[in-house]
Amino acid sequence: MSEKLPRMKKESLEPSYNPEIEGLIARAPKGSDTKVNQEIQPNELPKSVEKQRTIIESPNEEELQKLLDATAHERPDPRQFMDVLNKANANTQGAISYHWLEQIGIIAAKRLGGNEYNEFKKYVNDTYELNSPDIKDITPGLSFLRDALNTIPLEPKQVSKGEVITTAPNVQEYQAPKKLPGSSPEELEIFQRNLRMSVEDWRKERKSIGVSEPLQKIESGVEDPNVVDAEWRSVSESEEQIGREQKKEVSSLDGGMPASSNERISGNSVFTDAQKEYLENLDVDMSVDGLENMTEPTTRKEWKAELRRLIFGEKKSEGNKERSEILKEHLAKRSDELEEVATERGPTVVKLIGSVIERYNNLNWKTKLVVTGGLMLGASFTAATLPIISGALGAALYGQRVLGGIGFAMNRRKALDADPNHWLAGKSELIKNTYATALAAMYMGTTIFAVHEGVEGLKAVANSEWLSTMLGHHSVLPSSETLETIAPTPAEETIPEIPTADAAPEIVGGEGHLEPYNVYDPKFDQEIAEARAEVDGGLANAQAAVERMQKIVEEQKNILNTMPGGSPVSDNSIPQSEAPVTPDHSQMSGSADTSPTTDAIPATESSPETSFAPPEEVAKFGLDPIDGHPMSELEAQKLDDLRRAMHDPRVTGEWPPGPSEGKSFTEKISDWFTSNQETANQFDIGSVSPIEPHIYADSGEHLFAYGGSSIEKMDAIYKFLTDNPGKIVYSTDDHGAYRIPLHLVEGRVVPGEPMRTSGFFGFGASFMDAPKPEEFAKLVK
Amino acid sequence: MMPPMQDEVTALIATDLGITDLPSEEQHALIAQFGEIALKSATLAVMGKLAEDKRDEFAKIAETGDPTALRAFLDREVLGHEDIAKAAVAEEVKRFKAFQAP
Repeated sequence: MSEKLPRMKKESLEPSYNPEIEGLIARAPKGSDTKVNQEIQPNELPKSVEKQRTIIESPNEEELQKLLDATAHERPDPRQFMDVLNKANANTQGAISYHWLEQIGIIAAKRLGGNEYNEFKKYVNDTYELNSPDIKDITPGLSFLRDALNTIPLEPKQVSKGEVITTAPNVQEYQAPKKLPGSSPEELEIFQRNLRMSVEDWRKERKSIGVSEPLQKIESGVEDPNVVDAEWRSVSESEEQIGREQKKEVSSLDGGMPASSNERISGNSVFTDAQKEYLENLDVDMSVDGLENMTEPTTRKEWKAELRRLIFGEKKSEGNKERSEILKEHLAKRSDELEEVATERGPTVVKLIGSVIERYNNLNWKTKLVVTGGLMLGASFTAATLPIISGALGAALYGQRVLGGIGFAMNRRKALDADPNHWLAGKSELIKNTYATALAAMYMGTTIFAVHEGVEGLKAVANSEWLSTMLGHHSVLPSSETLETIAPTPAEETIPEIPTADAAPEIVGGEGHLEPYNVYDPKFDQEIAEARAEVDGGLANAQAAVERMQKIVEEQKNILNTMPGGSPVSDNSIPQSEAPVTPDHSQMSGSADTSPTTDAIPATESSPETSFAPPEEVAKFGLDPIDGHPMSELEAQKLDDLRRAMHDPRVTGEWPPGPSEGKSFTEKISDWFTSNQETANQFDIGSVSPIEPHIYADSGEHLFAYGGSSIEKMDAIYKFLTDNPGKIVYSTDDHGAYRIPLHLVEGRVVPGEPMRTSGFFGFGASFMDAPKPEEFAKLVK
Repeated sequence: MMPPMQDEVTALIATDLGITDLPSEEQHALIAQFGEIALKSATLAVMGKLAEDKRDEFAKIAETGDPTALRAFLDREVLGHEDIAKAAVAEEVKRFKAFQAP
């Protein structure tokens, strides 16, 4: 242990080698592959590590893989896998490789018993379903994992009363659901060989550690999995309590991970003497990493914490705290210096800076993140990153997409940079950004709406957005017209140079229009799904995907021409206030199969009043605004319901609405920012989240819906009213200004007229304001 | 549930700031604090290019809450204000990272 190790240079090690982790892993039990007190020889890494390094690309992924391996002797909770996945996703900035995701699925299948495997699979499926479309589409890895898990069959092991009871996952028969992007044939071969070997090891391991007896019963087909599962739980809990488990296999005295919560490990450091010496030879500054202060993990819990700390980069709290405080102190000092500079420049500057910072400090964390990200990434990533952020901001109406889009687009952008053979490699930064934004938009499932917004955003937003954000009182982003005027796109970098880019601007009818105009048609979903699939196949296919998106754009252009009150999309004077944004939201109408749109955000910006006069050849119930076919009475009724839901009665009192005093798209984004701050409540229900939709009640019997996007809120209302059909829920009108009642009629949520205040004998009556958090006395749902 | 997407952005910023090894709550605090520095620095840098009388005008326009007018004003009075702001933030990032360098 204490023998001298040869001095060697850092460079001779692979970059992903983390001696600290190696030390822990080497000492942790690994079943038949247990390495106890193994000295780390520079040129002789543990075989398991070498194997993993061969097939795992990213250090984070490797570390996470090791976490799973290191916990091989524990009976993992299915949620632990999701936790690992979540952490991996965060650590790798959403760029988890499909390969690694598949590893997660395989490992889950290997480590979990039949019931647990199903539980994990269900958990993944549920997570996928529960996630909003934007999230799950931004993280295609989740759907990939879901597909992988659903592809791994369970082995039929027992026939009981004519029923086949499936038990353990049949990993050996598993075939990858699709080609793994980025996996070379050599990698796949290693992966598959490893897979087969691991299954055998897994089986041996379960037998050897003695905790798998109930599962062996399952495999032998003599037990009902449900009974066995309960039995195993009992065994496991019992073992946890009395610390019996480690005595069967792993002795902590040999340096393995203690299996009980009360067994202690000898030694004063997580490193052996040889490992310490080795680290010293590497000239690793142990003080920087807090290594010298490391104490020995003594219990299972501490071991796990230590592993987590190492793997997820969370250093010991004492060291972290100290470093963090130093950094905060440094920033505070820098802040003082800047204030001194402001003071030198006079009271006007001091006052202005003060108000700017005060506004910033009043922002919630998420908004601060956006602001800081806008400033930071524009400065330190590439000079053209901010337009990407702006493009993603175009989807801000969909809640988290503003952030997801940023991350996704940036990852795509990085991937593009890393590929010198990409078909856009020689193109300008703007074009590359446009491309990345378009891909992000496709993944976000926002049809051409987001593509359009992203592209327009790229054209429009200037890097001084920070100023408007902070100095403007009501509008986070400047109006599109101004942006176009002030930040014209250089002619040589105009969007039309690539397919996605040149398509979107044409649709909106000229420069500077950022209004949403999307119309929903199920066939676009299919088109976009196919486009996505092409992108999934690799960046090489992305060009085809973008071209497909262009085709969708063209089709939408035709549809817009058929919209009532619409005009040729190439016409700059297109009245866009009529064009609804229509995410698929079937719940609102109860039967959305024929309804073209079910939830709508009226397009904004004042526009000339438009008539809704149908053509002469219109059928009795009018023409479908989507495809122009004569509508049935039912279809017309649905459309009418939709219009009523969209209708702003403050303006005209009847459909169709006249000129709307609606806000521009950028103002909506602004509203989203400004409204996304949790509000304290006078009643004891804590803060009221503007992000998550909930049903609240006041001190009387009134019910209110609050929080989330309009779509999410309507979802919550629909679900609540479905469960409580006799109730009335008050929410806001489309503009978020006035209070409207909503109730259920024949399975559909029907909005009523805006509520009015009583006034004084009818005088001075006005519309009631939208529900406010301070009214809420309790959380109902 | 998958992690909130702000985690992804947080990770990107934390990487640029060199604080990924800190716990997430510490990262959040530092990012928020750094955002204030960046904002302050960028604003000062832009205002530093303005003559004193123009600063008053700038402040007045800012008070009106009209970003359109503000942007037009800057375009007119501060050539390259976008680059100035960016450079200021970049300098702060550099300074922060330099402080952490061993």
